[in-house]
Amino acid sequence: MNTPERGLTVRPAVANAALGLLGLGVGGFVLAVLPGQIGAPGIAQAIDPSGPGFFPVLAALLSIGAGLWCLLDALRPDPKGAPERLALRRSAWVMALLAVCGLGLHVAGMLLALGATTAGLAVVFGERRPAVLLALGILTPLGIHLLFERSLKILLPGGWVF
Amino acid sequence: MLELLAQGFGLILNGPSLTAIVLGLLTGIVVGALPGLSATMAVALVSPFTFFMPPTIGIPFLLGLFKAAIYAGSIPAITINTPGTAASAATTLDGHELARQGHARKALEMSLFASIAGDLMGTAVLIVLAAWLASVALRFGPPEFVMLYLLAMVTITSVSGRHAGKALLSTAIGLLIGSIGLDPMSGAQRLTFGSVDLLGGVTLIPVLIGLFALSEVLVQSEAAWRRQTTIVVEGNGPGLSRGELRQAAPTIVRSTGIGVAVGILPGIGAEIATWLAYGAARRRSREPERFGRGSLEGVAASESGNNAAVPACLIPMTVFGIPGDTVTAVLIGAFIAQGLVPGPLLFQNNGPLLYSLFASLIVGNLLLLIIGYMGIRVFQRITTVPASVLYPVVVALCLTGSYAVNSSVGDVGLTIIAGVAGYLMRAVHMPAAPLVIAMLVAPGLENALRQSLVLSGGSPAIFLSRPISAGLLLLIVIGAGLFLWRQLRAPSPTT
Repeated sequence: MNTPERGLTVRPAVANAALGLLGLGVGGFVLAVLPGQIGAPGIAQAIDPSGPGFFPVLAALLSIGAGLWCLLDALRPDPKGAPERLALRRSAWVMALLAVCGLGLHVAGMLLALGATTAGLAVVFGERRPAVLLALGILTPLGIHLLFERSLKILLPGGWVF
Repeated sequence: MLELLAQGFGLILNGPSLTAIVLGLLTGIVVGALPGLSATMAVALVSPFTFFMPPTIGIPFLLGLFKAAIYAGSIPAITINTPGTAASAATTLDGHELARQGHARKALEMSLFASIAGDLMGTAVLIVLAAWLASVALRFGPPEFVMLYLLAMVTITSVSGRHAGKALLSTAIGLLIGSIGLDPMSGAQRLTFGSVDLLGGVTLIPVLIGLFALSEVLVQSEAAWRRQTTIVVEGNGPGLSRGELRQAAPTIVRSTGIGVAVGILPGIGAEIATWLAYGAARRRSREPERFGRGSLEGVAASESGNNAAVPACLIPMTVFGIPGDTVTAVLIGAFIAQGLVPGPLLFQNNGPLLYSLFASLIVGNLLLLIIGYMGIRVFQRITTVPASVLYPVVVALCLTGSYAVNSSVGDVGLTIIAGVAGYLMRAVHMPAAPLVIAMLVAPGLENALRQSLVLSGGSPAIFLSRPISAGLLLLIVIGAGLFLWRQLRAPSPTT
């Protein structure tokens, strides 16, 4: 069975408060910028049912309402038992590798970037055998090349290097 | 209907289509048997590949994958007490106990036969009911569609756990994301911030791949795997007897009915169906004390319930364009990419093609029976694939699949962002399903809402003056009311 590893603890109240602020922020932001984008003088004009602002304004108001609900939940006492754990050790490495891959696509090209990323991710997931890492780093992009570029005829982006 | 079905079989009974169905089934079995890979994840990951295939090949592949993944989730549930997919969670209760008692083969065979039976009966309901509903839906106007979309969102929000505010926030964000791009009526740019890439809106498939597939990889990176010893089937008792199968038949039929009823409701899906079917079977059983201690009836109930929901989920999807669950939310994208726009006109404009897909469900069931029975000894070994090999390859496929949708590097970035967001959402118990379904229905909901208000001169009374719309509104009010009442009465949600 899977069991989560130790990580940062996040109290439910903190999570609810953060989400509450997110809801208020997103809704408020949309209400602030939308009239300008659609050429309406203000929110009151933007909410015309036949106009383009009507639906996003309703969604923004729902976001604000949901944000307030989350903030109210944040005021409740925390449940008994262990606080929520937000594990970030390995997942932070995965996110970093994904970010580098995404940014490196233009430089290295998709196949090279994916090969390096696959090998790096295998290390994060606990693989230490060099032969397996090398095989993953070579066979994965090769398989993707055969599947996408040769079979499906989808040209993958190249980079400055390859 | 029978004539259309016959034409459908004619379109599907050929080498390429049958090969696609078999490949879809095999892929689905691999996906379903691997804990941590869900049917939604696999369909989202694989659907971009199908855009380049004819619809009689691409869509049957996806449908085969869907049904096989739901079935195959029972394999690790029985052998290592870990469901391969959420829809098989109830199967662990009795399936693994049976395996511990030396009856793994019985449990695996019951799972297979119950899944096939449930799926076949659910498919029959789909074929009969969908066409009739489509003819009724042709009478629906914009107010009725507004209510249907709202019903779907209320339903998915209310079953998304006890974190109501978070589910609502997820819905609101989904609606906002769905609003990004050009306004369909006036052409005004909304929330694009000058970006040319956003003029067409946010592409659905890369977001789905990120939210469901990539976020799962992030979750699995933090999970310390402790696999229990896989119970090898060869030395594990006799197979299922005819008497045992006959004894389970009433349970299978009842659970199928529950699965179909749940699957038809938009926004729910197989994960809920399996528990409802299991609970009903335990209550009606002559030996309820055996449930949880190795009851074949328990396995039969959960597996027939979850697989019956698979074809039933296609009913709201094909008839109204509303996803029955998150997998059908992805399938809608695949359908549209193939030029099949879900909705009542789909039956009028693409009847033979649509029925060929229904026929592929029947053919897929028969093939799954053969493949599943022959492969029982082999499939349970899939659970031994190491995470250090599996998940990096999954990530590579995620990123490439996202790129393939529009040949856009921007979509790769979108997938990564959605993956990280999905992981953080799971960490704070904010459900992703409402976001996805809201994002999907937002354009249709907005269109229908604005058309309704234009028709009525801005008066919301139009939703009350039309009987079907008023009836659906009553359902929404009752559903939302019950949900709010439960929220207010319940203690603080535990983590």
